Amino acid sequence: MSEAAPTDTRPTASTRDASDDALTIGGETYSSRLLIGSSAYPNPQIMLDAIDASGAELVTVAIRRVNVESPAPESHLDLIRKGGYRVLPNTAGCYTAREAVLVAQLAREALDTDLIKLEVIGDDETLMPDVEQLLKAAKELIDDGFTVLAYANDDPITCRKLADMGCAAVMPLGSPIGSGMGIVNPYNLRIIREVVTDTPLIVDAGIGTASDATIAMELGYDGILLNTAIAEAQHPVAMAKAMRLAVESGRLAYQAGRVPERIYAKASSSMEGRVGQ
Amino acid sequence: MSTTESDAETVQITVNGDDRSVPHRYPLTDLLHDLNVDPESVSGVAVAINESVVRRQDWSDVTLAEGDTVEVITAQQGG
Repeated sequence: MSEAAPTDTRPTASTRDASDDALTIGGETYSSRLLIGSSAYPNPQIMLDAIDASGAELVTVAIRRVNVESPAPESHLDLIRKGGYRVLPNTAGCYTAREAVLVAQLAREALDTDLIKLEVIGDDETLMPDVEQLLKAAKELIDDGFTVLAYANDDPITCRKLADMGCAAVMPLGSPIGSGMGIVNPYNLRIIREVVTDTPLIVDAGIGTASDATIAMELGYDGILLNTAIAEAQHPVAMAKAMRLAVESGRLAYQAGRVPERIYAKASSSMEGRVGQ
Repeated sequence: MSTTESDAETVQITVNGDDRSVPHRYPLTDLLHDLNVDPESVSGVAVAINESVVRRQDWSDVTLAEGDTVEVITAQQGG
């Protein structure tokens, strides 16, 4: 009478309440599955309002030389910290493992955090990761005790390697950084989700609008990291709210389990008792 | 040829990519003051010399020598 349940990695339906459905990265849990950047908002107040509306708990920052000529009156870092958000430094702009490791070590010292969003790019037109340098940097940083969230190509092999070496999260791109092109290769993202089962997967880069975030979450991704789609929207605070809802919606739909696709119709209403039968 | 002591004691270093002349054995904390970074009160700043991070508690023990490459960084807006 009893049948073996089909293999299903989705959380059970009892996890419908978002508060029970935390995202765990490097031993820390987050109730929000949306991570957002702090760059390119029209002004700092809109940035703070957008972060608040997004529900994000992790906010990315870049590591840059201090500006001796014009020190900022109040830094974005101060504002983000005052808001009670956790800072996620990145290694944006690094082209080699050597640069990225140094920037990560500086970030850890400056911000007192082991978290690092690892970016090692190959050129500044595509901003695509340099896989060779990325893997090298990830290994060195993990060995040095960092909690590495690695920005990666949408390549199942690279993503699996990053997960296997111990990255706390693997973050394939949906499309190039800042492009707003959305999820250009959902098939690769599906394969990545199938081969990376024990490490959080976050779509980082390329999200243009709310439905892009939902699609990624429906594919079983654990979270979304974005910046431009909110910061450069016509109304960043409204878009931040849209993204929050989109991520929650996609997560719920993934957990709920979608119906199979079919190319022919299947009547919703029973054919029994039709008039004129 | 004689040189004054002050000439002899000047060294060339690089600070955030720019060349700079400082006295030999110039304290790192003095350099930070020159950069408008108060080593006592500042937060969110880190220093590397020759690609090695100098822990904050060690700032006051460090002096600079000829050819040192100093990076002084902070967090800024980023994605």
